Amino acid sequence: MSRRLRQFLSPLIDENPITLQILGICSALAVTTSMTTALTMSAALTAVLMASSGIISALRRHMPKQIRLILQITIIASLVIVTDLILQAYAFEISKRLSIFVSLVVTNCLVLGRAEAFAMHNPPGPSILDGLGNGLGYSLILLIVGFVRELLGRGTLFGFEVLASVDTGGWFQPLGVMLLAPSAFFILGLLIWAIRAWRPAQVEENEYPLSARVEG
Amino acid sequence: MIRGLWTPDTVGWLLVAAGLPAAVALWFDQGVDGVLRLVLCLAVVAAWQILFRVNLGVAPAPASAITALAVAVVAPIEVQLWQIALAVSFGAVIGELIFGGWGRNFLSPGVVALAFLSLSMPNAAFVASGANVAWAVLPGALVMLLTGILPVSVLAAYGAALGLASMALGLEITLLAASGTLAFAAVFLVADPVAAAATPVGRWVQGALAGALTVLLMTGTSVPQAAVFAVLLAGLFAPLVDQGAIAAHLARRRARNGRA
Amino acid sequence: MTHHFRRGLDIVIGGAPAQSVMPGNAVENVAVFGGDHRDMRTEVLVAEGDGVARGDPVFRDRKRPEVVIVAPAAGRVETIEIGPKRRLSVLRIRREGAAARELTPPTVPTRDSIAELVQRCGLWPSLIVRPFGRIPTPGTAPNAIFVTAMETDPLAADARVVVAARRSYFQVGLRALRLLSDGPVFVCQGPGPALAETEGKFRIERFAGAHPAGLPGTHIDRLHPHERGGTVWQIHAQDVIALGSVMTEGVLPETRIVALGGPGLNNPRLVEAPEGASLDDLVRDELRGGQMRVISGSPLSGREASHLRRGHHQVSVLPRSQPRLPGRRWWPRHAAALRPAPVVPTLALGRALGPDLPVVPLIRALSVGDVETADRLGCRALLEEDLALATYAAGGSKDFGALLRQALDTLEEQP
Repeated sequence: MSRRLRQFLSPLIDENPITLQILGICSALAVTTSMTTALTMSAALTAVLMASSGIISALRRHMPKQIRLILQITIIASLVIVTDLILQAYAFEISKRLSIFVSLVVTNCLVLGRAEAFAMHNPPGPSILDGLGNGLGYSLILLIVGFVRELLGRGTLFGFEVLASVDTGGWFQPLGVMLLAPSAFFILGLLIWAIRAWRPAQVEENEYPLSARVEG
Repeated sequence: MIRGLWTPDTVGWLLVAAGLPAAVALWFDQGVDGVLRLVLCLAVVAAWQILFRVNLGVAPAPASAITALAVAVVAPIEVQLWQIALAVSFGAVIGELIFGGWGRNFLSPGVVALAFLSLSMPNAAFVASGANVAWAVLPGALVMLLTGILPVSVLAAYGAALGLASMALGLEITLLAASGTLAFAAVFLVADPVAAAATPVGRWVQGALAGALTVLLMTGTSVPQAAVFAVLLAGLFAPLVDQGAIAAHLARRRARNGRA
Repeated sequence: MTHHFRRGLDIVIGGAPAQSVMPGNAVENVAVFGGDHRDMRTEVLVAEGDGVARGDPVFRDRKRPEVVIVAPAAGRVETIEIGPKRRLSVLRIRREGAAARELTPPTVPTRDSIAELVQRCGLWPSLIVRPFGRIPTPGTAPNAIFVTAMETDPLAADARVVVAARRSYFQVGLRALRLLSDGPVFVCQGPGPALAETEGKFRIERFAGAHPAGLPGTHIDRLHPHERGGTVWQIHAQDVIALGSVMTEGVLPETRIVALGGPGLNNPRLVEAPEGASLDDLVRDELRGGQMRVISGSPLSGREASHLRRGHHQVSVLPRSQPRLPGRRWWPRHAAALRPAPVVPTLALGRALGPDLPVVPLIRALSVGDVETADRLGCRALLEEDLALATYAAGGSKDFGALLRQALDTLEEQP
């Protein structure tokens, strides 16, 4: 596998920003009650991440070290405003629901984190690829969580009825708990557990292991 | 060299035995449907136990049957079976097995499962069970109190707090009508020896907290839901209460025994 | 003063010994074990085939050569087994004759002269320091000494009978101990008439209640709690009697009083036997039929052994439960190894600890090796024997005493 490809693929699962680095979970909780919002948020974040990584990487040799964080934030904030305005122009309904979260992409640890960790040290090409990989990794988790929550919480996907609910004469009783924030935590937790069971390299060492049985 | 009788398994089997009369009362109250639900819950719990035994070495515990019993007794009748199975799975896995099995959990898995159900269906009608279940719970509770498995202080504090708070709010009649649910909750959920607070003072506080919260929440919702959330909250606070009780105990010791 | 101990458990085991000293079997073999003195780096002083008198040093500590272990009886050294790290594993002596090494008690007893005598006669390792349960470093003095003149362990000898037989030695021994301590000497006994006359620094303290009311850990927690800092020494009444014998006669007593008890014995009673006596000799022709295990020490804290171990004054004979036959395999071959059983806090567990510490949190901390928390909760106040009842009460799935020892070792290494 070429280095480029690995750079792009590894953030999908092996170094997934949400499940391994536990970055950006606030927005992951807030926008995953439906697939529509999750997808919009994913797209917005991936776009911002790619653009910011590219721009910051291009400017990396021109930024004074002392004020680099401010510059990075400024760049990211500009991109977020642009994204928000695009959403308002072309998808007003969704933007009403997402506006606050889109604005908060600025403070998403993921964006700043990739800028600091990768874009500041690599040329624009790989940086954009890295942004895309991380954005897609984030999107993947968001969509999985959103899928489970919307399907079980409302019986719909993207707003279309999949499981006929009791209210409309079907058999399905929606699980209200799925629309509450804790359920996102649980699903995320179970997802992380599943990934670590599959890839044991990600498991942290246990500080207080259960002592072995002492024969007495 | 010699071993006492009260191994975790003995305690677990005694808990199960104490729960049997409640299962019979369930049959009495809800007929074959109730029994079928119980069997489904037991099957789900057993499946998870086997899965965790084989893959993670978590010892299967007889006491986990109480999770199934709690859901079967307290859950509303109209809940669909797949939701019951999901709730029991949630309780058994998140509430118990991921911590390493019964004995290491800090919340009663039955409470976790019921809270899941209750949050899922805010509009479902949780119907409190009456005297039948209360009588059924009694003999098991007595045996477990005499053998020292149930912490007396938790039960006493829970009962006292229920009584006092309901008198203060004038809810005695609601309370009596729900005697079965409350007795079941007291014995199998509040006073669960594993999930209850571990210090003597902590147990009084936790029991009282659970009782007072039950009555307080009763004003806004049905008795079973109030009981479930009260126990959940009190259980969440139990470790904190314990920490406080331990700190106070150690401080008292230091004050008494400080370097002369 | 009488202290009422309100926790504790009554443990009923059949075969309680008749509380009077009766004739027992002749003991042909005795042994000393390096494993009973884990903080000694052993240096053996005799060779196989040597003849030794009672009280002759047989090994000593390399680092502290004053600390010696002596032969418990006269005879010939039969075997010396050396274990890992060149430590003595076991030294067996076949008894011959009754020669005894005689020591001259100091005419003017001072702290140094008494300490030297205690070291030379081999009784120094009978003193146990808390915290950590080690042999005291020669040249140090404790803040208090606790003499354990009571037993609440199941099947133990009544200390009243033991002391009554050798009361004058006990008094002399206490008088000598007094000089070793900077502070008081507590004689901890059961309710009833005093076992010794109070003189100067020593005080009679009575403890009433169920086991573990009679363990030194319980007494120390009441009278010199660990928060007060410093060190305390504990010593068993029978060792004090031995010291009294050395002070008056110049020789160690030939025998100790040992309780033979348990449902596996025909005639449970007290007998006289030397330290380190072979258990085979002691219970020869006295066992009931069936598979039995012979335990040196109490049924709670003792261990299956070939000889009486250091500090043990009782032998418990219990039926051996049938080993579970390998039944059907329930789990697939690749099933994960079973995790250790949890601790379920029952009433019995809550009452099982002598010192007034939070039992369940402490045991949970020990089970996961959280030494810091265990220390905060007061594990320094404990030794292995104090947790034996908790191990029993929790069903014996884990030996909390062994876990405590690991924690104490870690704490001791820290500055």
